[in-house]
Amino acid sequence: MVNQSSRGPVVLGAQSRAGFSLAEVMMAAGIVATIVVALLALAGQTLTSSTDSFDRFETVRAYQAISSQFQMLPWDRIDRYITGEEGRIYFDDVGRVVDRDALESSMVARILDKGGLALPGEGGGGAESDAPDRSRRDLRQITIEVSTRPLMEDPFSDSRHVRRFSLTLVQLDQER
Amino acid sequence: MRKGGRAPYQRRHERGVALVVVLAVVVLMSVLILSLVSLVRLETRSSFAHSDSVEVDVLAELQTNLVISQIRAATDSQGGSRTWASQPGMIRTFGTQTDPETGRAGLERVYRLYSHRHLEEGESFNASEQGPPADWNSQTGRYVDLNEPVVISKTGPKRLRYPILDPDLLDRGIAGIEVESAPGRDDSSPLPMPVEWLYVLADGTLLAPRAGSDTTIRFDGDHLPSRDNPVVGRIAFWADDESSKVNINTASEGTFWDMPRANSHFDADSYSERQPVRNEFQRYPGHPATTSLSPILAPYIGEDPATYFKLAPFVADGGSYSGEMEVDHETPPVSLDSDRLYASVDEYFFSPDTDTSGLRAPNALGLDEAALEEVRFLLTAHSRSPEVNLHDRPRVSLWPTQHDPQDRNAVDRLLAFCATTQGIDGRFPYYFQRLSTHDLDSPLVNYGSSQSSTADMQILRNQLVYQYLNRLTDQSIPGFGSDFREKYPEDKGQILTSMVDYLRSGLNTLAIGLPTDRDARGYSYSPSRRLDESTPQALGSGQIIPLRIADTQGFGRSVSVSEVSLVIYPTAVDRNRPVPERDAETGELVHSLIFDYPGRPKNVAAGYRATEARAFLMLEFFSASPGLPSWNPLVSIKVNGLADFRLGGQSLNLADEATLDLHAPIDSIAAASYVGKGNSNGHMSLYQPFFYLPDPAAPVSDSNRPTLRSFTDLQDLSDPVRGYVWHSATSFPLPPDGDRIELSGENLEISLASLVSGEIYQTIELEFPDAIVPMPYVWVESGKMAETPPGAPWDHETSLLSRASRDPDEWPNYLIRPGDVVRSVEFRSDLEMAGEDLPGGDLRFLAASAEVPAEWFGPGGAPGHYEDPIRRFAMGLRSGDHWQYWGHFRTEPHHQHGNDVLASAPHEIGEGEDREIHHPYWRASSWRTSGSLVEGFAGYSATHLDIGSSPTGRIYRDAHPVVARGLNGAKRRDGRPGDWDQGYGNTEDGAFINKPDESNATQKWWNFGSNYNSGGYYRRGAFAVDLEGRNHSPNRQIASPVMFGSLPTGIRSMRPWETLLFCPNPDGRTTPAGVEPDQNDHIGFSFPRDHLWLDLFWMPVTEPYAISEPFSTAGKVNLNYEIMPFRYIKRRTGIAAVMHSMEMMAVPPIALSREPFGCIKGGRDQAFEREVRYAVNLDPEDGTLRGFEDRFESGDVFRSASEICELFLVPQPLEEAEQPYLGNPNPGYSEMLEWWGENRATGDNVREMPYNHLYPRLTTQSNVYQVHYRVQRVKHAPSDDPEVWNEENAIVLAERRGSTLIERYIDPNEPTMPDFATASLDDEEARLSRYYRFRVIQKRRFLPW
Repeated sequence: MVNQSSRGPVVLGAQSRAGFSLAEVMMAAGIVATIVVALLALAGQTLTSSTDSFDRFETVRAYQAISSQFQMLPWDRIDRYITGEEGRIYFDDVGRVVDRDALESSMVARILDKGGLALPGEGGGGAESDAPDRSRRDLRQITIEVSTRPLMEDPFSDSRHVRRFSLTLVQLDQER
Repeated sequence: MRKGGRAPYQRRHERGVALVVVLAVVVLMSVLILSLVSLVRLETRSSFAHSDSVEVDVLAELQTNLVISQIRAATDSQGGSRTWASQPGMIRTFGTQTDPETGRAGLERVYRLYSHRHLEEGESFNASEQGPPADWNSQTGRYVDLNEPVVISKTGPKRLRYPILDPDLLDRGIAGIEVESAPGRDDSSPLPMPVEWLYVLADGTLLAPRAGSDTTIRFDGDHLPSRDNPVVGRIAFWADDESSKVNINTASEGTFWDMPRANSHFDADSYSERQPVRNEFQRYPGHPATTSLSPILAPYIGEDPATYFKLAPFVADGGSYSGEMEVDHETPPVSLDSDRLYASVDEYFFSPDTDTSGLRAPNALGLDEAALEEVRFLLTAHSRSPEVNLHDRPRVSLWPTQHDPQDRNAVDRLLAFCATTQGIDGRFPYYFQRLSTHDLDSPLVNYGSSQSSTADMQILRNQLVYQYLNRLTDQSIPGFGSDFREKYPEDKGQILTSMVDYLRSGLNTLAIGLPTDRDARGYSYSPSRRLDESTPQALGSGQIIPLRIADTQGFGRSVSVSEVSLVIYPTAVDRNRPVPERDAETGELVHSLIFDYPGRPKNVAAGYRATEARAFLMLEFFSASPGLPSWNPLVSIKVNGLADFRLGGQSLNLADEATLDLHAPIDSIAAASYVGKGNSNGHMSLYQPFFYLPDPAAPVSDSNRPTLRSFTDLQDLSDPVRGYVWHSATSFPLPPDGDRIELSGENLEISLASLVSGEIYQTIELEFPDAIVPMPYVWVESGKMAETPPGAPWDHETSLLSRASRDPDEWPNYLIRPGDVVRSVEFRSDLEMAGEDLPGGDLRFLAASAEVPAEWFGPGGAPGHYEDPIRRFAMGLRSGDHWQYWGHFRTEPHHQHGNDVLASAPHEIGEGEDREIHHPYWRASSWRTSGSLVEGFAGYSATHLDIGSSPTGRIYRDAHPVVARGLNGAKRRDGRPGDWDQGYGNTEDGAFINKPDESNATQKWWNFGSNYNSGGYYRRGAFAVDLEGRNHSPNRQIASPVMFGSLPTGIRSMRPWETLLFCPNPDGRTTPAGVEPDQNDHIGFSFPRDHLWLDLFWMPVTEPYAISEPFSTAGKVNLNYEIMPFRYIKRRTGIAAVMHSMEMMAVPPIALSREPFGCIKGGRDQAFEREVRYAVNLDPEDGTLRGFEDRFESGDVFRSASEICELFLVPQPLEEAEQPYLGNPNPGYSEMLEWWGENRATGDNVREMPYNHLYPRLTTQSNVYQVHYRVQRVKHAPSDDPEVWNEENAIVLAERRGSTLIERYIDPNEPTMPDFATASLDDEEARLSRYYRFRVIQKRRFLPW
């Protein structure tokens, strides 16, 4: 801002009659642009964050549904999910399992096998243990990938829309 | 000049508008955007919170999964090569390498059920090093207190709530729970239970803090946390073993009951007169309902048993009202309450009843919320233990049932279900079956398979199950090593057969009043007794022919022969030739009665010389399974070789081969009150062969009653039914001169066969030695020679018919008369003869042998009497009669029972070492016909006379045991005291096999006008059928395989007086308590110890509800109560609950005497005035729990529940005792050997009895675990090194505390399950651990408010 008090009438006032000066406009526009851009960026981030939050909500729902279901499933069924035999699992926006072609599907999940869980003391950090380095066959680690882009050709190709969860399952039924 | 005064202003204003507008818009946009941002941030936080919440929940599953995996790994038998034992916080596994010191296999691995950096550890594991360090609370990144309390304040003052163990519990005075110097105890953790954190990375990797970490945690291993894979959570957990708690669905309040075995206050009053009725489970031996809740709950709700019955599901008060009320056949069964099972301990808060609005009201017993918080650590609603043997294969159920399902009652079906698997190849039962029952509608035609020694084993499944057990016992035993084939190379098969036959013939022989599909009346496996007047009386009621498998034989419930007497009696007299009182050559009395002794004036008598004589045989019978119900024989006895007996060269006119059918139902004999109402003693009635049933094919009736056989009719004498075939057909002449005559002995062969199937189950060889014997004569009572008429009333001197026709109470005096000559061969008491091993008087050898060699028998009577030419009587016949001493066969004239006449007899006879002292109540025959089970005590001397230094040092007339005559103590081959049984009620002790109790309260008897006795325990042979099944219960009949404990283990290897050892205190033990015994103490201690036989069997519990399921039983308590890693918390309450109502019995030898306290086997008019029952002292320092503590302090645990049999039970006086105790009633654990030494008159079955009550309620393996956990969702501080966890900077995003209840179980209908009985023991599939599944049965969040 210019200090007007030592110069009498405002010089700029005469100029203003002819409208906003270019500099004035440029300054205002700059300010506005800067602020708008900043705000838009913030809004964008906020929207992204909001979307992420929504996605988190949804994907956690899917994770919760899958984890609670998988704890009780026979392992051969889980195998079929891993191999894709059972297909992917589709969810609507409230976490219900839906058909893959359903219009309301908003998430899709796939299961990846990570093998047996290595226990502490069994190669997982237990250097003092005399236990052999082996994983427990009845403790199975899987990764659940949930994509919020179920309709994409490859929903899991864009990592921005994919969340990964780790889950350790135990074999409840008899030993195979 | 200014134009217009406002223009500049306006211009100024206008000039600022743009900026203002811009700024306003910007501000507005900012506000909007920031609001949006704020909202989104809130939403984001919310979504993170939700996500954290979900993920911490999933994290809380991880610890459960880890524990399940640990349990699965630990319980994998690896092909049956190892076993496991659980305890709170840990499972240990053991292989088959035997430690030569202990007989137990060394530790193989431990599987921790609590979070620890090593969840598994090998044999280097040291139990004493376990536990949190004292400074655990300064290592907050590594340790966390699972029991950390939270402060709550609702309306009242603040109080602490604990997730696991409330320390207020310790102030309640509950015996068995205490805490010894908990490490790091402070205000924030008053009772800490710290365990280590395990950290979870984002990719699921589990890491343990490096040892030595405190608040800054580093991790070991290759897979360390990173920025991309940070620590996201941590878990801490500890799994409690639910079997270490008391199950509120099975326990109630036990009141001890056992089969009466003494004439003492407790046995006669509390056990006989107040026996439990049907559904009074709280008194059934070994039933889970006898486990008591009062040791835990008494501080809250008192000790009144009725209170606990209100709490316990299905258990109700009634019947004997915990032993307070007498019962009889009219006492109704206890009506079960209809309470449902508790789902959790919390339900204790509520009453089982609902109010009018359908809501459950709080219980009125005083169990409030605070109390439940405290006792939760001690109680459970879900404990369950596997019924799987150490080889990881099914146990065999003890309960025998019929092969045909139509012949099973409801209880049978449930019990069979519990021991059956259903595979795709069919149903596989693991119990023994019986081919057929007695046909109640055709009792004289269809006797069923009990009368065959082979029929039941024709069931293919029986053969397979038998072979299954046979193969298992060949295997090295996991957890212990070594095998029974190695231990009992000659006897293993015989032991197995004895066990199988014990179940077949000792259990469930009649179940009347329990309908089956075929018969609403129930069934009887053995020939039935008469059920009502319209039902014909079957012959042979209760008899079961011994089972034969290959060359082994069981005991069955039938007769064997322990003595055979040849009686030569005069039949014609020359009255012109009186016989002098004394022998002309020796000066000895002529008659020399069996119980005669020098100087006894009563027997100074004479008679007339006989000119003719006859002979007959008398057989003494033996059964190794006395008890109830009493039984009648139905056998055919063939004697071969009689024709060659000669007296003075004359034939005795006996048929060479004579078969006599023994079939008369003894309880139908008119004089049954004297003869007995059936056999329930070691010796059967001696007189039974004298009777026959005129028409065996017809029911017993007034016109078809047992009748004396024909003794002289030649036609009848060849008839096995009507004739007494072992009698001379005609008289034979006696030489006119001489006082001596030569008896030429003969080799006899006696064959015993089922009269139904014709199968011979025993052949006995006998050798009668030659001997010079006195000449028979006709005896005349002193001073009556001149009065003696030639005919009656002296006919009995010359007529067997006349003798047998006497009143039955005179038979002992009249069947053999003073002028007769008797020579017996009887079962020897010797351990060896001429270098040959003999059974040492253990009559069980006789009962279990299909072929009995002649060497086991020897000349009858006192040593030297058989060949003594002046001894008329060389025999020791005994009869199992109405009253014990009546059966001691004698020739006492005139006076029934041989009692009154002796009132004036001198009590001391002779001088010096030959001095004989006779008790005032001495019965003439007793000491002549028996021996002693306790060496050096009571009634034994080299001459079989009653010599002792005082009247208290001898066995009273009523307490003479059933042993080979002349036995001076039941001694093993090594000379140490051996195993024998206490008789039931006041019946004799002897060489028995501890038959299960099948009695009931139906039989009643007023004894001596003042004592009422139910059950027939104090009236020999008395038994009445429980027509309504008011007392019938499988679990009352048999609690556990500990009942096998009297089965001999040395029949084939000729090791007498050795039976299966299921207690630590056999009489032969000399190793002090607390020191490992060895085989010198008892062969049962050699490895593998005998108690491991127990592991092969089980008794399912199906009343009052299915407490047992296939392969598991609820409510068992774990012997391993030590808590890992919190060893400072002592929770002994489970064992205390099991033993709370336990009693034990110990008998000092003086109890066998009449003086000074009465006799323990006397009549009910002369009760033993001292107490022989004790409570159990549970003190951990010097009481019973000392044995437990010693095991834990050595770093070891129990591998099998059967190891309880290695621990001494320490007695203490009963609070209810009305009589004083003999000796020290309060010994310490270390004094137990000496204490038992003072109680040497305690039978093996009584020593083992407490273990029969305890074993079925104990376990070392649990199927149910409660996982207490604490999990956190955490975030690494961004500025920290990602590989290091800094507890100070880290952020806890979410936390969960709570517990999860998990159970391992088997689906008995699993289609892939093989038939374990036929599967190879090398078959990996044929092990049960492969078929276990897991389920979560309860989740509980710790949310106190």
